[in-house]
Amino acid sequence: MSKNFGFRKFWKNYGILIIFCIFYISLSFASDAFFTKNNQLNILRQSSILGIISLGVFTTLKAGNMDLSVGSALGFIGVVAAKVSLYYGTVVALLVAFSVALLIGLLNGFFSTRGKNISIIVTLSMKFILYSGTLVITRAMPVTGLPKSLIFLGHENIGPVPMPVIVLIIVVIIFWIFFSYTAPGRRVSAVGVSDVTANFYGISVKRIQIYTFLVSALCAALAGIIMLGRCISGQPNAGLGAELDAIGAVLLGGTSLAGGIGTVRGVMVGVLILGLINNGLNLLGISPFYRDAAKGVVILFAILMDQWERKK
Amino acid sequence: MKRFELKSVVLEVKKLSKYFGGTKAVDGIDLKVYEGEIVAIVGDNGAGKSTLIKTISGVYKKTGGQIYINGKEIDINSTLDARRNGIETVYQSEGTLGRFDAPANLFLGREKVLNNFLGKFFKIMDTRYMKKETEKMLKRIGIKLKDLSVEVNDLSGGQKQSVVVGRAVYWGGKILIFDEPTNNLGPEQQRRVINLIKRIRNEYNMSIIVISHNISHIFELADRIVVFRNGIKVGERLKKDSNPNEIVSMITGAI
Amino acid sequence: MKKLLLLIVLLLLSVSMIAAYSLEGKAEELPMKGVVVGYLPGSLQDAARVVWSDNLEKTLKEAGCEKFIVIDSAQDVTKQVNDGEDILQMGIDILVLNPNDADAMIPIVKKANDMGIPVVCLDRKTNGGKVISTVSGDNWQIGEEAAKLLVKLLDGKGKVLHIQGTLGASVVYERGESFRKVMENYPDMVIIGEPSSAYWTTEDGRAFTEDVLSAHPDLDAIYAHTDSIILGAFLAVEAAGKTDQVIFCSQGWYGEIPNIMKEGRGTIYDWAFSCAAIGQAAGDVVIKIAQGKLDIIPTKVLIPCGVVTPDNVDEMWEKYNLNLVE
Repeated sequence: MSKNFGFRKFWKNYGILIIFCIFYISLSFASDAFFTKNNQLNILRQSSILGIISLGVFTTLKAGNMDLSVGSALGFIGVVAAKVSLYYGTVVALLVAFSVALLIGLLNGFFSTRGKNISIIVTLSMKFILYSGTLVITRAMPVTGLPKSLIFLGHENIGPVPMPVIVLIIVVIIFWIFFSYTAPGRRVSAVGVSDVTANFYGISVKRIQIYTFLVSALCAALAGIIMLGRCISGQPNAGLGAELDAIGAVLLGGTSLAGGIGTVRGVMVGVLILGLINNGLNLLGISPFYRDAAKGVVILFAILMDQWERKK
Repeated sequence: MKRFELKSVVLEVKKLSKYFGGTKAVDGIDLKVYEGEIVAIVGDNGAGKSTLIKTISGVYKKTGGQIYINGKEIDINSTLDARRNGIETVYQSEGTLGRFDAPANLFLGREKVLNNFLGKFFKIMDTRYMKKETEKMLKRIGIKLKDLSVEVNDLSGGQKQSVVVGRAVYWGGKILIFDEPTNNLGPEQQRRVINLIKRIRNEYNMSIIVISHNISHIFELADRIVVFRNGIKVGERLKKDSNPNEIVSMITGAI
Repeated sequence: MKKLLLLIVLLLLSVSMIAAYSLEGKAEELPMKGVVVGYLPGSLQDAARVVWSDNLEKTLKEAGCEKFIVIDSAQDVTKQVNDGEDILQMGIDILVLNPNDADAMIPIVKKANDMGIPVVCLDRKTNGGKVISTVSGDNWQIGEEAAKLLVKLLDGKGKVLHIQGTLGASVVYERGESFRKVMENYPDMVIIGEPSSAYWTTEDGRAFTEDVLSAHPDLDAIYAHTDSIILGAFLAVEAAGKTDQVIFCSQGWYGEIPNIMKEGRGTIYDWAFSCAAIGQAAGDVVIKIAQGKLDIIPTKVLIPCGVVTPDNVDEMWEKYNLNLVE
């Protein structure tokens, strides 16, 4: 038992890191361009949006729910902020974005807590509603002419480091501290592991679960604003399908679909692995036909690992 | 009897009833539990022991009667109410978050935060304090854990149970209720549980209610034995005034 | 009294005759009256489609069409097949189809054929079934002209990045294949990669280009199938400071691209459909079908593109600019 036990534990904690290193090293050999400063920055920059929304999805998973609306929320909040900024400027646009995010989070949270395990359906419906909303607002046209201050977060650099990366690092640190060191963070995990037990000991399960949806929506909002900068416009299709990548990244990082289990660093490793895959495919000029297959294989592997771990 | 009259009554129920539709699971029970006493509740299946316990600990809401803690009448509408009044039930394997360690479980819902700005504003936990307190607590009830950061899932059954017990005791429980604590355990583990219960009573002078089928364990643990049948109390004996045969007969209804 | 009565009767008679005459005259001018048209747009999620759909509807409504049924499948191939089955049961007389996938809709077209419902394809074609006419912008023209332009500007030697739209859409095939066919003739023109953006997004265009610039810092040109993608590519190139080095070719003329071209921030060539003209042409085909003039309808109606270059931006500003559409 102890031999098996030791290996399992090691793999649980470090397995994904090993896979990451394997990818990383293989890519350095496969392409000369991989190891350059620019390319490394590119990977980080492109991972920032996915990283931020993945942390939001991670938060809902920690409490035993899943938020599938994050991609469409990113797009919707982005275009709302874009449109508002054209008439009322950046500050008002950001306030509106914040409020819309709270509303989306509250709706997701409220309806998801009316029953057991219904967050998938609830957030899926929200996803479609939000996308519809995005099309209605933009009439399927990009929103252009945005004020410079609004696109700052996505577009500018501080020194050599792109803003999205800085934002990502700050967000990661906040989430890491929250989940590892604070009492509310621990309670979120408690709710995810066993909401019955948590309730038993006086933790208000429903309230915590609603808060996690608020966090997820706010992450989507932040990602949406960054996206505005990346595209210097409000794109109607921004973020489409991003929730699938987020779930893939989160699962890759060892977060359990059952709830409660998972670490922030695991999520980031998952995000970076997906980023490596995309980067590698681009650098090597591999046909787009294989891109989805590559992602799919990796994510399937992650789900299998999750199942194996759970069988403990 | 004299010895106990000097002690205070921690828990008292008067004419307590719990009906489920037409079924009178518990009917007009009067029961007192004194400070520092171990009371065993015995009876056949369906006698009402479990229902009584669940009504007292807030899982069920009483249909009739009154509940008093230290002489004051209280309303118990949920397990939270029960716990606030010091009534804690210890189940065999439930009650812990298996993926968390012992200190995390002990302080679940009441995590200690740092005394400084970090703690007050950001609610950063004082894990060192919680670890130390847990260690102290467990030692006092006779459990020594080599590594406190081990997941509770990886502890033995007995150690797991002591975490739950430790939790109840630490937060000022007045009455601990054990529902079939020695069921499904091997003899050595049974011994450990029995010793644990005795130790809690001795160290903390806590009142304990034990439900059990195991007459020999009862006779080892209990100060007083209460017999239930068909939802009513059919008899009550001090252990020293009784013997296993008599109790069994009361259970089956021969007496 | 009798005279007054006679006068009133005469007046009423003449009024009704005039009314009848004008109504009947209108009826003749309204060939779509009583004709039910079903429309399956591939999606209404980009500006181009919105414009030609609006124009199609406008043309038909002006010709008296009262019942115009639209079922949008939002780029979902399977859903469009289901929508097709539904719409054929809704009593339509003519079907206008913008297929998400050239093969998946063949059974629907065949079903329409069996039911005697004429089919017109808009912007994209199907690979089977009998279609009266396919009205589209000339996608083939885009790829061909873009490739030839790049060959000329780069003297037959250079590295090109080809960013495609959703694989499987006929426009992507046409815009891509036409480009490749010309490039094949010039061995020194190298297509260094052909990634595809599943949803034609700017972020994809940007990410692909950022990475490719790492591997190929001497990239000469980028050809993308639509403006939303080329915008991302342009931003990546601009951030890398290489707007003097890279030539951009794309299609669409909407979003930030017209602004960027007006500001002269890069060398961009943008092929623009008049989506309005496409929609209108489709409407005209439908009207001709309703009038029974099947023999004069060509099987392919190709609306040529204009091309906006760095030199003629001001001239073309009004003509094709989708941003200016309400």
